[in-house]
Amino acid sequence: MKIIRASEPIDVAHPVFLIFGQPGICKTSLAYSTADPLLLDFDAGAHRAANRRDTLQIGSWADVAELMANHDALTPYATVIPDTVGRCLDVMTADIIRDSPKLGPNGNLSQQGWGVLKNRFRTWTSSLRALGKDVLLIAHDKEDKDGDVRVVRPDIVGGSYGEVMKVADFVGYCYMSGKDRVLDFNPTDRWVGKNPANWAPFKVPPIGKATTFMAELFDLGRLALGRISEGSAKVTTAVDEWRTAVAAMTSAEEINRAIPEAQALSPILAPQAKKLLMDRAKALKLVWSPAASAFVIPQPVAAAV
Amino acid sequence: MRISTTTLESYRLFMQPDQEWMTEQSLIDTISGKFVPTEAVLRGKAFGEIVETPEAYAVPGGYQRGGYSFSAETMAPVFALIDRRGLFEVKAIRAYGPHDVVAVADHLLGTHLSEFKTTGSTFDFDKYAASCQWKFMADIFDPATITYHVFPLDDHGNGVVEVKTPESFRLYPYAALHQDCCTLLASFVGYVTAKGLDTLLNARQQEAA
Repeated sequence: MKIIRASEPIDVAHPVFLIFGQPGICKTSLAYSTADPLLLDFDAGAHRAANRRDTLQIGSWADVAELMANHDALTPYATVIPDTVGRCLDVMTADIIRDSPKLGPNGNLSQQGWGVLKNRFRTWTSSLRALGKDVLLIAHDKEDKDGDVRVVRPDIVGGSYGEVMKVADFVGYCYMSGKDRVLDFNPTDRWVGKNPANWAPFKVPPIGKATTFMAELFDLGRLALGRISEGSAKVTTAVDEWRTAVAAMTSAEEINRAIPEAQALSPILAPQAKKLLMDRAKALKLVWSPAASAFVIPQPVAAAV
Repeated sequence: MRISTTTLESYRLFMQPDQEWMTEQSLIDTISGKFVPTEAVLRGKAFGEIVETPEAYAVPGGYQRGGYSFSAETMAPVFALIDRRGLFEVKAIRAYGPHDVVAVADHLLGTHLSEFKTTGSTFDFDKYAASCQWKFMADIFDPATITYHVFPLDDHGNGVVEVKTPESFRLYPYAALHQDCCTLLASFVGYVTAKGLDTLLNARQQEAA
């Protein structure tokens, strides 16, 4: 058993990426540039891709279940790519209704059925990660109209859209900008995105040259998530040190002396240090004097004559 | 002017072309501080207070606050999501030119900021992702991640609240985030100035100084 303390970083070994974009923009070809990929061809479109690598054509969820039951078959692969995740959810839905017709009256999932779909999808992606696989979800795009603004989102049906967006660590939109293919993980008012690495938009190399593009992104993504964890651990340690120091303060003078130091800290640390100071002041029954710009001992109210 | 992220989010919602439920009067009431909480808001407030200091509201078999009861069983999965080594209700202020924007983070642990939201309807990822609240939080606190924990609440009309399966997800700061915040703030300042509400917000800033 290894308990990871709050002040220690946690590695995110296997991030989940979601790449979406219009049909024909070479999402599948790009997906084959991951490390040791196995593409689960739910859309029956892999034959059109360049740089094709190992592919499992999916006719029904039984094909996926067979793969998941056979760990030896999965061993050679580092990345599993459901292509597309929208169609993957359709196939999963069909399997749920086949198993439990009550969850899908008239072929459409009931509210309870949607819950089962979300749980099954979440469990499945977790299982892939637990098996040590990177996961790249591919989706077509879908344009919705928000008033006069058109917003592009992954084409994923109903309530499962939220589940996919929850599961994905990185969400990137692939689009044409002139003659260039661009992959942008930044959310904008025109498309959704998730960008833990704070990447600028990528110009995707020509498909013939993009044979390791996504493998490199996964590695960079892993590093970025690791850095987030490491940075947070350092701040947690600093807050713990403040907590210890503040707990030892017993007077308004001590707290007031610490305020300028707290104010000079980084934007993430300063509010936490100030909160500790304020809580301590409250515990010591001190009050804030705007006139003195300091904590003071409250003056006793004069007794009424 | 001194402006809260909640006010800015109300303004953003009001400006959405397709929304009909946020009237201009309710926006002006929010800006003027005349906000009258709904039943759902009161329920959410009670829930939030229990999340922050459960020991203060503990009763045999669960928790009570503001006329609402929550069983220990319904709260257990909620507490399991929250690392109590973090700090609750952490306030920060950032100056945007002459204006101050005030944000209160529900929970901070290291560089991870969490927001606790309650809802009476089904989970809608885009509703939260589109919100300017987390963007201002990210711009003001500079966290590495912003996690939304969304708790669907149902009190079945009798004050005994059931917490349904929580939905949690992470959002991250992005390159244009500060610019997006400045653009919305500039639009808001233009609106309140045109409506003559700027005096009120300026007075708040002077009081806080």
